[in-house]
Amino acid sequence: MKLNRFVGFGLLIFILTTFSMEYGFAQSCGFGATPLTAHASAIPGQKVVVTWNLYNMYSDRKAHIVLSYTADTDWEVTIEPGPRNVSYELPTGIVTIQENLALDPLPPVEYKPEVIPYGTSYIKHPNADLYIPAKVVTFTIQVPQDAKVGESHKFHFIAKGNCFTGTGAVIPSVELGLDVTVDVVPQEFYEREIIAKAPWYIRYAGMIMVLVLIALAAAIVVLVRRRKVK
Amino acid sequence: MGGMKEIYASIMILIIALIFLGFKDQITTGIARITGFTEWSDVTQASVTVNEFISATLFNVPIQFGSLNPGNTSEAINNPLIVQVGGETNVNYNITLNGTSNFTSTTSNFSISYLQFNTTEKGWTNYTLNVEKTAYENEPAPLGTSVNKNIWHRVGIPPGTIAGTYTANITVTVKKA
Repeated sequence: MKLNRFVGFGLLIFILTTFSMEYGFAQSCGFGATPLTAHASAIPGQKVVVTWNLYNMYSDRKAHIVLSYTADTDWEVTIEPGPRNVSYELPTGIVTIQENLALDPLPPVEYKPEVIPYGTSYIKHPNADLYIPAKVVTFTIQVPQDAKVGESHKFHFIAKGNCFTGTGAVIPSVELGLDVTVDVVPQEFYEREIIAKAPWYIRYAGMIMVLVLIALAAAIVVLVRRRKVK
Repeated sequence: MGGMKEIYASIMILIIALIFLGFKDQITTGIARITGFTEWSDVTQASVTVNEFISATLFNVPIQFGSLNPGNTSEAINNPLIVQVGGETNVNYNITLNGTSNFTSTTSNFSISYLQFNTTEKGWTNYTLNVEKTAYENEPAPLGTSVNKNIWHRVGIPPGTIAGTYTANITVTVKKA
């Protein structure tokens, strides 16, 4: 019986140790984003500034983010922070990669700090009374001066995250996106009723009045000439 | 001299006519608006936009296959790749996979199409270079509790492959459905 107890206890220790070691060494890589869509109205020549919050709440590694975009137009777009080469010292040596920003794993917090550093924000957690520490990415879309009122364009911004997770055959990365639609609008708002269905005498009221006035003027001229002849 | 007043009058009328012609649209629009003005009401709308959140974290990365002989097929030794969709995600989502590079070593390479994935929704599917393939489609928003989605991988080594350590890259995209 004693031997069975020892074997059972030993087995339990073995399972717990194996599980905790596996859990302890589990590598995870990822990040989150908010919002996922945005819509803006802009006049020709205006700049549309879109801010995007990226955060890393769950993974155990720093997420290295590369930003890019696709668009259905060639309007000028700038991304802040821009791409830069960064060197990291790893157990295997120094590695230099190109990234726009890096997201450290940070858990949500109960209170926003009094001083929030530039380029960071604290977003209200959608499910809990907490704040998610995030880094802010800014996309600036320059609407050209010759953009036509009424045209609309779509931009898809992409954040691709990678982590240093050691060697392996297949290295996965995580990708999240933000869809932005920009509508070109006139500088002043107006609302004009289209009168195509109005009665004919309303539709042609302007022309009728002009004709009446010209006819009146012609009649006066004729009358004046007749008087002169008499 | 007696007819000068009438000439001035007719010139004035012509000027009025020309001015009217110039502002015809504005004036007639006003007329149309007034004739159609039988009832007026206003509605005040209250609108609010709820911000969308999405997050994805990969577990069991990188995908490892150990050592294989040419011509052999084997599943990953650390299967499955877990895509954890964060509890704060408040949109329905799709998970797509994209092979973004072939398998390369220092001396040789072979196609990413020798790599396959499998999910609880799909059978074994080959990767294609730079082609997004759906792994999970229109999954409900987790709304509070993180959800794990498993993706199994296997690779077939083409016969005659030169010995070496090969690596490839894939991208897991989690997007609003």
